[in-house]
Amino acid sequence: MKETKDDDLREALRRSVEKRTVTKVPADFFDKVIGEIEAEPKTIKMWRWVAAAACIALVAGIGSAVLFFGKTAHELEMIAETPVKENVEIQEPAVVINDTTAEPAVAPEPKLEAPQPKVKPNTKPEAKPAPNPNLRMERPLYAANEPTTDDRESANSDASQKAAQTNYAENQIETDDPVFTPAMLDEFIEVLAEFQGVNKINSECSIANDSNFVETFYVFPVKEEFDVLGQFVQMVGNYSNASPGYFFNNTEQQIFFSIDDEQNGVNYFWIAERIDDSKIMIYSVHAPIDIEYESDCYQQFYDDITFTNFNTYY
Amino acid sequence: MVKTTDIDERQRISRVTDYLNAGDRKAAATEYAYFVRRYSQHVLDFTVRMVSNRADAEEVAQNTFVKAFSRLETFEGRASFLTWACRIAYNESINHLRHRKLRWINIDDAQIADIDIADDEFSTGREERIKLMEEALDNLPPDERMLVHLYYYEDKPLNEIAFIMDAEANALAVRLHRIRKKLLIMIKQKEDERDERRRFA
Repeated sequence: MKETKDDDLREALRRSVEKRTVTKVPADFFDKVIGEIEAEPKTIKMWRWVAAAACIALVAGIGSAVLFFGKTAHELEMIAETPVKENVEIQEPAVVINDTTAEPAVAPEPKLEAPQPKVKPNTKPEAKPAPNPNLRMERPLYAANEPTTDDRESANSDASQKAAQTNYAENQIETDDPVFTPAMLDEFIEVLAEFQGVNKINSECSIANDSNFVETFYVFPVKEEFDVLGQFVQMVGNYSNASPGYFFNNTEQQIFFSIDDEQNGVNYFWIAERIDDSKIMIYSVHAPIDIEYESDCYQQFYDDITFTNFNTYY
Repeated sequence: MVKTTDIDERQRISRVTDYLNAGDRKAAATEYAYFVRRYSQHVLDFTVRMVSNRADAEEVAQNTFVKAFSRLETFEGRASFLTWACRIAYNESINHLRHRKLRWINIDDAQIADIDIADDEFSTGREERIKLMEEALDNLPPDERMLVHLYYYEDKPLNEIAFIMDAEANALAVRLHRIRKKLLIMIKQKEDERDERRRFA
């Protein structure tokens, strides 16, 4: 299917280019360019600019002088002519000029919110253990029942409160600034897979009938000219370690990365692992945040591909 | 891989800068004329794809060469002169378009996420789909149209496109992926519109 769509796109581009009449370079194009290049750079007549700047400065100076002196005189009049009476409520300005008897009103200090505890990612690689094919994801157990409506609402309200304190989650995409959402890493892996002609494998052993829990596998061939793990790590580097749910760790064989998308209430978790000299597996799972789950799929799939002809997946 | 400037071009560029440093602008222009003659058509094709209007494209192409001349001293030779000139042309085109403040059809990114349209969901055959794809390409913003053109038509590697567009190759890869999905959405919309019209015809 992907090849078909790419072919359609290439064909559409080819026809579009063919239809377009070639815009020939006009006869005077060369002369115009060379003429402009050969022309001496225009000497800027500085005196005109200096004169203009002086005029502007003069006008601005006169204007601000009028405003400033006029206002000051008016204020002085007010202070001199308005006695302070005990029965009259007056609003004291933040700073009282020329009144040494009254204590200066001090604006209340803004309330400082207690700094929110940041997630402390354990980025230091642990003492390198031997590669353990029996490694399981260390995540809490998945709840058998779906969360209730109340739980969801409270989770959502917590999430919305937390969202205000996060870095990317509070960014509403109103500008062209690139904000890296967790889903973009999945997209990036999908793009890598397309480039390498690798198929996405949806796990069949995912928790049945639960569309909230999605597991995906990619098996990349090891190629000298294409560093999958390096690309993966490079993309991970786009995420700030202050992001909610941020977790990054690695061993000799595996790279773990997890991050929360609090806007959508989804936790993303990836493992990138070198299986052997010929295969690199990237595993991803999405699940609702704070939902406990445990999956044997990763281990099953790992065992499968370790002992299976690679081409089955390639 | 980004091509490095061949020796002949590097020597020419070196001579141009030498003439400029010596104050001989005319000689520098004469030496630089080689690049204008050689690449004017290509740069003009590039700017036409970006700004569409022919007169504007010519003006942008001219500005490109003039600007490239004034910046020759900053040219490091990491890319070919043409690639470097295309980068200048791209920036000039974007600046030109910003001044014109053209509006392009823009589909909300939220619609693009998780969209995967299977072939059998299209109600039209391949030929019709290609025609709709052509229309959809014309409706893309210029920078996205250029990205698609450089990658799918000119088969340029992402690194080179990243140099031209002053972007990260990884980010461009994701962008290409999204543009493809966007095109599919646009085609599907056009098909649905066409089906509606047929129903009421």
